[in-house]
Amino acid sequence: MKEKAVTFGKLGTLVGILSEPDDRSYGKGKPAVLFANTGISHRVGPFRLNVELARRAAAMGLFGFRFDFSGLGDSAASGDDRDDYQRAVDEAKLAMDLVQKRTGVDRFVWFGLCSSADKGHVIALNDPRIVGGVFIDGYAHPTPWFKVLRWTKRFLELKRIRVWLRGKLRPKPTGAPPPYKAVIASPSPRKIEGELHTLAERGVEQLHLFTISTDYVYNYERQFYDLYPRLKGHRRVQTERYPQADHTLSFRALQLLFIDRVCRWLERF
Amino acid sequence: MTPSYFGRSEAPLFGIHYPPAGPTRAGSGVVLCYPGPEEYMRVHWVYRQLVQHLTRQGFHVFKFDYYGTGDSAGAMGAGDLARWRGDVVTALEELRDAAGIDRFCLAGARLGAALAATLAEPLAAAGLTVDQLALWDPVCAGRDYLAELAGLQERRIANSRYPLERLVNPNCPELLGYPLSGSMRLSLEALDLGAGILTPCRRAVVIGSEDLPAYRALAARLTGEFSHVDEACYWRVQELLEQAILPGRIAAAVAEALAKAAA
Repeated sequence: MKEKAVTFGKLGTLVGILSEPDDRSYGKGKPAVLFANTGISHRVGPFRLNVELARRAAAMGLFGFRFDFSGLGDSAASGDDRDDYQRAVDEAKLAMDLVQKRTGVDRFVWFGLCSSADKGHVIALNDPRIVGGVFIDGYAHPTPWFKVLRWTKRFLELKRIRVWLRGKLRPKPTGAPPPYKAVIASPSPRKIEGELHTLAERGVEQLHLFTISTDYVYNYERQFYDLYPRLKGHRRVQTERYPQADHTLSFRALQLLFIDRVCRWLERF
Repeated sequence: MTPSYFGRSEAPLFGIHYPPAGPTRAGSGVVLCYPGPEEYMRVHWVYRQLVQHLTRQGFHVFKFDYYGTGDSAGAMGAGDLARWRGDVVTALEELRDAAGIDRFCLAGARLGAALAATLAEPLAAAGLTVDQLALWDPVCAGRDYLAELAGLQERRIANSRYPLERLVNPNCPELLGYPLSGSMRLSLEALDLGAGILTPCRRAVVIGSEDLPAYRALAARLTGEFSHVDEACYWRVQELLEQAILPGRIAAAVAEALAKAAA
């Protein structure tokens, strides 16, 4: 496996790392995997997840490209007033153009966690070169059964009650900023369902994974299909919920579990 | 800005060279040393600010990832402090070759500051000298640092609503999501800025977000200055472990301290 640092974009101010399999010719028959920023953190990903996955993918014969959107990580700010999602679509296109030019690969898989999953959804809709996507803690909405389970769990899980009480009683760090809470207007379930179905019909392979950190909105295994019934049984779509995993996979066992799962899924290409 | 891989071809390191953005300070460059992996993501943004401050002051700046961290080669947990000290020296050589300079400053936060302060041997072996050190909230005692991280790990598990305690694997030690190898533990336990030979330099400044006796003692050992910049960094606040540290005044203070003495 080899890695090359590159700059790209009109002004050469975007930064990315191209990972190559030892046998470059082997990688040409497969899609390249794209990674970008989760939230505002830089391209290596939480707990270096993107780096480890890109290297595992390279060992499987897949090119990988991890990059920073403008204004994040090592990439300079764009200085324009484009919408965040429009900019992501434009810059992902630039990233794909670069990889295509350097490697000859013209099919791509998007790997996204959290906001990167949401951006990957929009990028896939806008660029036919995307043939697969891993969406971790992507779009989700509550269902009636979710609400029943949520209230039941609140009273049954002792640790939750204990920690909630302790949190209420514990003095907050003096002067500390409030914990970050994303307030993002999520598209309606019908819109998401239609778009995911369009992607699946286009042949886009999808792996939707959910951690327990989304349990304020997503708390049971089959919720995905209750939300998006048109995707039920679709051969392009897989979903799993990991009740033992937190959002950023902050334990080594979780990181290895997810890396293995994604790599097994990548074997289909 | 020029990102590149450098160093040994079998284990290349990732770094970025930033040329001066203002009137060039003849022959002077700064290598930035990141903290340990547990704090790497938290400071990435403020290091970017620090780069801007330093390049505007006329310095060449080079920031890089240690072996086994960031975009550099190596598995997580593969490095230890001895290897990372060697990486700092390799980064100095890379900056020397890329920018054609011969006066170096080292700046770093936390464990990065501790590495910058304990480079006497590898620098001598490489025939390099350091002009200035700027050490921000340095880790002064490795044992305390390890205990601090272990305490944060315990509190994170205890304060989580989720059963994270089930994920602890006693056979694979880790701290805050990063593997902790035996050699890294040993090298951290041996780290003590109160003893041993420190990096020789013309001028040193220790910048503390807290006014701690250990920081003052380190400044005295380096025959340098201590500067207290009252801006909270929350290194030890469990609730903020995954939030970026954005102390703009400290980044500015680090750059100003280096520029003042280089003038």
